[in-house]
Amino acid sequence: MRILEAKNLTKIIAGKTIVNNINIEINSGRLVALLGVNGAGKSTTIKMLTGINSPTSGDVEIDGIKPINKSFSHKIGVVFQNSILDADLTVKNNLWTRAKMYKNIDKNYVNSLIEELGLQGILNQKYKTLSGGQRRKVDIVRALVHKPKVLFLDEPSTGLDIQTRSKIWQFINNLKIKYQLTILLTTHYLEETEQSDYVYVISNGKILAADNVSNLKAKYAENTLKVRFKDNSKGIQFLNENAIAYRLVHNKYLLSIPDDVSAIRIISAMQSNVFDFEYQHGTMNDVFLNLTGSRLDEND
Amino acid sequence: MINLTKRNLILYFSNKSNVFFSLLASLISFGLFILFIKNNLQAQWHATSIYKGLLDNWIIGETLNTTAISASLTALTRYVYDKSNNVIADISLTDLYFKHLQASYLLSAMIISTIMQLFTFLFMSTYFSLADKINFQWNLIPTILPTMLFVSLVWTSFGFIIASLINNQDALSGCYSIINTLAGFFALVYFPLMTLPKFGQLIIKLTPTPYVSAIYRNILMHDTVNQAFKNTPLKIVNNFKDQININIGNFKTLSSQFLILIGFILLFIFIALIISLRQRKNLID
Repeated sequence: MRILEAKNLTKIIAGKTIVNNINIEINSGRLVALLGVNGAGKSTTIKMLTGINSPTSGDVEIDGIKPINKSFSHKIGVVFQNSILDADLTVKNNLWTRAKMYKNIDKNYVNSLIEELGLQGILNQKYKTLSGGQRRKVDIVRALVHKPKVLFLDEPSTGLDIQTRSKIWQFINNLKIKYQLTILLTTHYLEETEQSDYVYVISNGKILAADNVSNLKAKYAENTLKVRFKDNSKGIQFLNENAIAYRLVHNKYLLSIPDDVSAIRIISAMQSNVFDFEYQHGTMNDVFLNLTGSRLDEND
Repeated sequence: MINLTKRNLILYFSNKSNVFFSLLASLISFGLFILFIKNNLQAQWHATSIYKGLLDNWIIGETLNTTAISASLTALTRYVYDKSNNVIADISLTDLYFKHLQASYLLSAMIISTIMQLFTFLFMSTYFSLADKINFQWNLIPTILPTMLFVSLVWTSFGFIIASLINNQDALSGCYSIINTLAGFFALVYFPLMTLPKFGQLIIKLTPTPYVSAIYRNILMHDTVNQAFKNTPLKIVNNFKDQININIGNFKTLSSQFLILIGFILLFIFIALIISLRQRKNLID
């Protein structure tokens, strides 16, 4: 069931087109990533999808409701890139101050959210004393107090170390399952897209590709087999005879391989002449490179 | 709205530097008065206990004014901070209407300003009752407390115009520094209004500052002026009141001074509403 639909969204600020006619459709219960470098238009897109910014043109609907309708905000929870909670208030104060700004808040639900998501131990701690990962969890719980259907996260793991990022991702995945949430997040971390059900690749305000990760890799990335030969001339002869495309990089031959089976077959056939080899599946970085002309990790 | 107001109050009072900087302007003018000005003025006004009481209440009046300005503006920095850090954007996703959101900031700033003024009044009154052996005017509290609230409304509505126009904390700090500096001058602490050139008098009279100071002096010095000038012709009394800025031009009575401040409040609220209506669309863009 389609829960989010954005059609022809455009945002022009001071004559500059930040987001250019993008379309996004998300089915209920999916985890969708919006992947792009800094300045690609991700945050602006999220702000339009959440109704925080109005688009220059285009429409957004979530569960059939448009942002102009006051009940729209009940459908969504938003975790901003920079925390919006108060450093000098405790976790408890922060969460309940926000929760009480909603009418008919379910207090039992909020309490169960706090308990189930492991915040009991830090409830009376001031927000500023929490670690980066703990703050993120609290930010996410704040976004869930009113039982939204769609959770938006704007770069949820930026600034966190790799272990904490991994924990936050587990946390988000668990939320998706436990609370049947639809999640849309923006990211410039490729490993985060690997865990998504669907990815929109955005660059310069435009959607360049949209599909699940496997299909994106199949379309835009190639698997590579790196081989070092004992005898280069014999190795090159074999490759030419079998019409295998290759290029030489730092004394290793990079072969374009369609799949794992082909890689095994080639290595087996050349095994007497192979000094060492390395097989790599196409990565999201390759996808991004082929779509935008630059590697995402160059932009970190 | 109550929750947001409570949150603003907790954040203000839990931050010691907020409280300190709200009082700083007042502490400075009080310190300058004690160190450099008091003796000269006492000599001019003849140092009897009645005159001492006059002088002390005079400076309390001015200090309450500067405290009100400083505290209101400091309290409203929370609004600018929240605008520039997506907090308003987050709160706008709740069921709180935008007008109630803004009202929360105004209400918390008013409460903060009133509390800081009350603290200043109690502190200075206690100091002077100990240092100069003057009577602590407990009987004035039922009058002075609502006046503090009223004055808070004047400065909060003015401060809200500034806070609505500025979206950057650095710019706001700069603006507030200028206002706080000018406030000390416009409150007519160190010289009578009538000693200024006509144009200078006009500029000052176009701000609420002298009227607020005048109201406080009117209330605080009422009994001591009456005692000091018992059986004195009204012309001389008025002349004295002109000298010490209890009379501001033709606004010589408490009611006229309150009326003009009501006019200022209505003007500031009107301007703030216009800015607010335009800003609602742009505030979180």
